[in-house]
Amino acid sequence: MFKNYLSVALRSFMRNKVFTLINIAGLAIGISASLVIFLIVQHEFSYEDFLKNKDRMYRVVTTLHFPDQEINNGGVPGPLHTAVEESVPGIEKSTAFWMNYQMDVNITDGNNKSETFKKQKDILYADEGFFQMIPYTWLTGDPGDALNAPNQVVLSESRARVYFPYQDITRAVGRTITYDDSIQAVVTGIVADLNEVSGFKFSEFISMATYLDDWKKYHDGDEWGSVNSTSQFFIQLEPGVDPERINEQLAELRKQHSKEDDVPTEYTLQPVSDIHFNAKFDSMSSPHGHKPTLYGLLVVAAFLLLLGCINFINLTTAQSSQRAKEIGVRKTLGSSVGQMRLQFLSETFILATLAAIISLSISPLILRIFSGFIPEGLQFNLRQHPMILVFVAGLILVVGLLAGFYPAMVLSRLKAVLAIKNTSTEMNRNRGAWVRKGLIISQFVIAQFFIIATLIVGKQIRYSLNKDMGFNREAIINFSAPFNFYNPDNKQFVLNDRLQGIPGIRNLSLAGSPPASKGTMSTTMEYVEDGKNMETTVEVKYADTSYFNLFGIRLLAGRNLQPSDTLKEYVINAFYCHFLGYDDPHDIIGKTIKRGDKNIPIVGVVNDINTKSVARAIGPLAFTSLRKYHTNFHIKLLPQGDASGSWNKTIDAIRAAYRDIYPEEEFNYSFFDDDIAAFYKKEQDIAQLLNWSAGLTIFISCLGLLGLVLFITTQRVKEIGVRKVLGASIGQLVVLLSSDLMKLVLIAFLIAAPIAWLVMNEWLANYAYRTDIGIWLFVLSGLLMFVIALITLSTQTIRSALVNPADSLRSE
Amino acid sequence: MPMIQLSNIERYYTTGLQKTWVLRQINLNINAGEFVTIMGPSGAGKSTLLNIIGMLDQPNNGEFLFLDEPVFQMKERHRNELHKQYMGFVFQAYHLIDDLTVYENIETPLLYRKIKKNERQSIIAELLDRFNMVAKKDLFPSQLSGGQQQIVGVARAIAAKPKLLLADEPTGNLHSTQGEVIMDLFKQLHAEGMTIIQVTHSEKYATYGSRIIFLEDGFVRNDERIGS
Ligand SMILES: Nc1ncnc2c1ncn2[C@@H]1O[C@H](COP(=O)(O)OP(=O)(O)O)[C@@H](O)[C@H]1O
Ligand SMILES: [Mg+2]
Repeated sequence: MFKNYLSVALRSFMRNKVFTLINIAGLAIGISASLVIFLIVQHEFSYEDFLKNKDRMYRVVTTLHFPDQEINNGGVPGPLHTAVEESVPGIEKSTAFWMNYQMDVNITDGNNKSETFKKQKDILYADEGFFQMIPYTWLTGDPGDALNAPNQVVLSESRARVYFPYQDITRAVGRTITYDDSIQAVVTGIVADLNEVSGFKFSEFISMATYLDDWKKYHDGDEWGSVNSTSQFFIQLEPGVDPERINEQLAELRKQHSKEDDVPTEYTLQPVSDIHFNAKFDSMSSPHGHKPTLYGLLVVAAFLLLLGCINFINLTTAQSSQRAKEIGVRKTLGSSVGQMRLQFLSETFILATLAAIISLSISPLILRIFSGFIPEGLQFNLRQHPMILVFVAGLILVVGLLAGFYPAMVLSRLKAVLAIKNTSTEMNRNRGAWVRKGLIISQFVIAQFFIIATLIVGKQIRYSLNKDMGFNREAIINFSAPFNFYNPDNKQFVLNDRLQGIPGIRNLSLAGSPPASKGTMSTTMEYVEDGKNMETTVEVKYADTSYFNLFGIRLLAGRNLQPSDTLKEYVINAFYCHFLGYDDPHDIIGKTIKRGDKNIPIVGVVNDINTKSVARAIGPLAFTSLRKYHTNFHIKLLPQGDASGSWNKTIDAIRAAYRDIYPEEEFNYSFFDDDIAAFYKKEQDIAQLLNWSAGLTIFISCLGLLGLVLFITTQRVKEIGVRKVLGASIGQLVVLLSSDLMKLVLIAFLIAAPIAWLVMNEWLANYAYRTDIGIWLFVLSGLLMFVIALITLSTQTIRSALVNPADSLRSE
Repeated sequence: MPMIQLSNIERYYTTGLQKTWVLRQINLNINAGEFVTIMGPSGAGKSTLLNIIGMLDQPNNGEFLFLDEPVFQMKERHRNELHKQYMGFVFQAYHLIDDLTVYENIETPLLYRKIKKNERQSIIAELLDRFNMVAKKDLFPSQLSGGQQQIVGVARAIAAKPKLLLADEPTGNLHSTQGEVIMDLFKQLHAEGMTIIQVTHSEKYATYGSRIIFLEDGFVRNDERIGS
């Protein structure tokens, strides 16, 4: 029986090639988008799944309760882990480790030939508990004592291969590695790279004892009062232990060790499964995932699938009269209603399967569309992800039912008597016309929504990029001098002097971070006056004398900063000035801010600047000069084409000077306006996703429209002929044929516009500074959809209006 | 016991507030082995009556006993079974399934009756042979002449060996020579014992049967047996 269905299905697909293509294209786009999104989502949700005792594993994290701000930190103070291990019962295993940002690695071979590897990443100081909790596979070495003495290091296989040329990589054991020219460690083990979705992926594990011995003096590692996010502490509870109990004991420990004037601090257990998505606390070796984005992606996938299914439903039910005869005949031949349903459902499944096969081949293309959302290392590879096939099978089932169920119901219900009537007038009654209209409207509501959202997000990005942030950003480049915290060499001042002589530079500043940057340095400042005590968190930036001038930041009162090597004076922003109760900035000059036991005078007030993306509101800010921390160069270039020549020439000269002074370093610079644009990477990703979603939903919806108008025009050929004979103009006929469908597009706009308005207002509320939506944007997006739909319809309506009535009216 | 007993069958359509009567007070008994011809002007209700007998349509009033079982009181499933077991249909417009070949068209009713593959093959082979269609078995309906299509229609209708063959103007679209071929087939089938009810406008083809029922305005005006 199935073969009979299959033959009919395939032959009718072939006969109705256009409709089949429209159906398959719509479904294939939906299926491949779902596939790719499935891969992304399933990757994102599988973090740390490889840990067998994941539900008993926790990270200890720190929350600092400042007066008007809560600061979360994924790390803990250095001494906490020893204290916990000594005094808190119920802990089965624990590990403490320090993550290093970058280190320079030096390997010297037997012939005293040495090789340097700059800025190596993923290096840890780990204690021997690390490998007991995180199941790396050991290629060589003893997990029991590979990390329990100073100056030991365990390497991942791939990292070992970078450093050592051995075919048999286990021979690297016993070799010595020098870190940052100061620490030496002997390789005691090699582990296989962790091939799991995990934040515990590191490449070099130096024994913790090395760190304690050598570096303690530089860090605050032994203090309860400070916390560094690189200092990680994980515990695995014994089965049945309530994490709340541990939290209470951590609070007790804190009480014992805190001093009176410490900021109230809380240590809590963070489930390992929470780390990847909880942006409040720092992540480890992988960037945070973002659940709302994933949900957004799922919604997009669902919409695309839905639209494909709607096309199928509409085209199938619209053509029901063509199938009616077969249905009637089959019923007289003995088919039951159930068998008819089965037949039509299986037709849908065949089509869905074809679409799925095609989608497997276009998925790499779709993968590119979502490139901004694809986690590193995720590939579309059937061998790597065999569950893709299971998922595709599931999708076929879902799509088959979703798209096939309603048409199967409608078609199988057709009365045999009507179907086999010799005259066909009966069957041409449009079955399910209402449902079809509703579905078209919902398709275009979705497409219209995406158009509006795309335009609004684009507008907000343009607004963000062009907003006056309170400083200049044009023709400014930034780069930083290498800075050795432990052993300041002051070479940046030498470079500074050298740069002064380069002709293409208009202005030069050696200071801290630029006016707007990713990282933030903030501190609690206390302002005391007339018994009023105002304590608040203030962002701090280091500036030199030319900083304000270079960035076009205006002094509203007082004077510029003077160079200083110690904390001597502050220039604050207008916001902080108002915050402290001064409407006229001149009145605050000379007042002081209490820092520890010193009173630091306020010598100037500057205009407010946005130090972050425009999502963030302006807050209190203070500039000061602390020359030893000034390692960022800001250079304002002269306009191109002047006597000074091109920017490239100037930058080449800067590079040459830099290489002279730091022969071993790479010169990396960036244009300040590019850096600011990069603040909006996430928005750009969203915009890209929306662009594509809008494009694809419009495409699928218009495919459906095309199918329907094709059907309608064929069905009305005679009518068109008669009307033409009666004197209708081409224009009148086109309007006649298009108006019904265009009305639906219009209704869709009326529904989509308010929804989009609400949703996008909600989104914009995330931005402290935002564009206004504006009526014209809605008008424009409505027009856009209208025109696209009209063009789609015209391809067909004009053609059929042009048909010579003599041809269409020729009797059969 | 008659095969078909219709008592007081009535059928009307409501269009708006208006009732249009199609069949009025139909009382008929048809015995197994009869070859009945229904005649009457266009719109008289012939097709409607045939469809009711074929269990494709239901009357508004009246009772229909098929082999003493009340057709309209039984469950849908049961009716479907009866229908499958006893009925074959031939249509004026042939109504072959366009996307199936001659062979597959004839096979379809057998599939619905879950007949095994080798049995199906032999039934179809026999039919193709009998109707001289062996060479055309892989052609699609659109590749056949009307007469050939109707031959396939008849072959398909009798493939599952129904007891009752219902034919609604089977020759209506055919030339007279083609029509005669079909009527000769009917005659043969009748001779083999099949019960046939046909609708026709042709006085000549009516004489192939054993009984003529004349319908007008939904009423049975005349019902006569003819000798052959
Ligand atoms: N679905 C329907 N709705 C309304 N009227 C119908 C319907 N089907 C048939 N009729 C009417 O019933 C009458 C009888 O039709 P039919 O049985 O096909 O006549 P015949 O086969 O004798 O020409 C006709 O007048 C026809 O218009
Ligand atoms: Mg008729």
